[in-house]
Amino acid sequence: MNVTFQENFNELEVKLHGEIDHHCARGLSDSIDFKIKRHRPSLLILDFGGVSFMDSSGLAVVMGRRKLMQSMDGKVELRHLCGSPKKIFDMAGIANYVIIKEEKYESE
Amino acid sequence: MKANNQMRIAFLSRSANEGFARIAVAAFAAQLDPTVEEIIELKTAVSEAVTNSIVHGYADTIGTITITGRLYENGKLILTIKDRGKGIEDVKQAMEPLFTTGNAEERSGMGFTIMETFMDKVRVTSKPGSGTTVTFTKYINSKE
Repeated sequence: MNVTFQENFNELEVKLHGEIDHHCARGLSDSIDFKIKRHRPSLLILDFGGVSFMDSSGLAVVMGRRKLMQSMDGKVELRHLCGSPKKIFDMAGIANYVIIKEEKYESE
Repeated sequence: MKANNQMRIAFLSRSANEGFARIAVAAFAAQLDPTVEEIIELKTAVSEAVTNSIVHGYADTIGTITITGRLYENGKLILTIKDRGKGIEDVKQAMEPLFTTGNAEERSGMGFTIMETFMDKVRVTSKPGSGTTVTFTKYINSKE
């Protein structure tokens, strides 16, 4: 699991790469929380475009960050959902809890 | 019924082995020529069961997790994920969506729901004090 952060005005964008499972979930949550508490964004963007595998641990990562963002009156947005993450998020009805931004893959 | 092919792996209940377990199972199933969707479903269900054994079965200790895979006619795959950990008191309750005895910040309580959605059949046998065995049946519809 590899994470890169980018801050734009009051947004914090987190690009996730690799596999999200129980093994890496706590470290991932801690590193995102550290950035949130430091920059206090009003929108947390989690980009799953680079995630090749995700199990229910990823769901707990998102719901935990949503709780933290909510406590600061902020919102969470998920981007580039496909494959494994999309299957899990769709099953859990994640759209009831966070913003889903559907967009095509940009050429990077 | 006799299996056409069979495998068995055993590994320590360290979280670093979650990735090893799901990739080993996917590699074994590859001979059935599964679709990308079927591979995702298998890897996810295995990941959930192995994580349960690590987080709950062997909560305060390190033990051995054994996975067996058997292939039958018509793309039928049977997997068992077995631990000799502390077992589950109430299997029915443990399988309810959103039920978790773990840290709610880290566990979503969706593990068994995901296994049941992605596999054709899930059976859980458990005895407090002696361990838990999860058995999956999955039909891989070979793409022609």
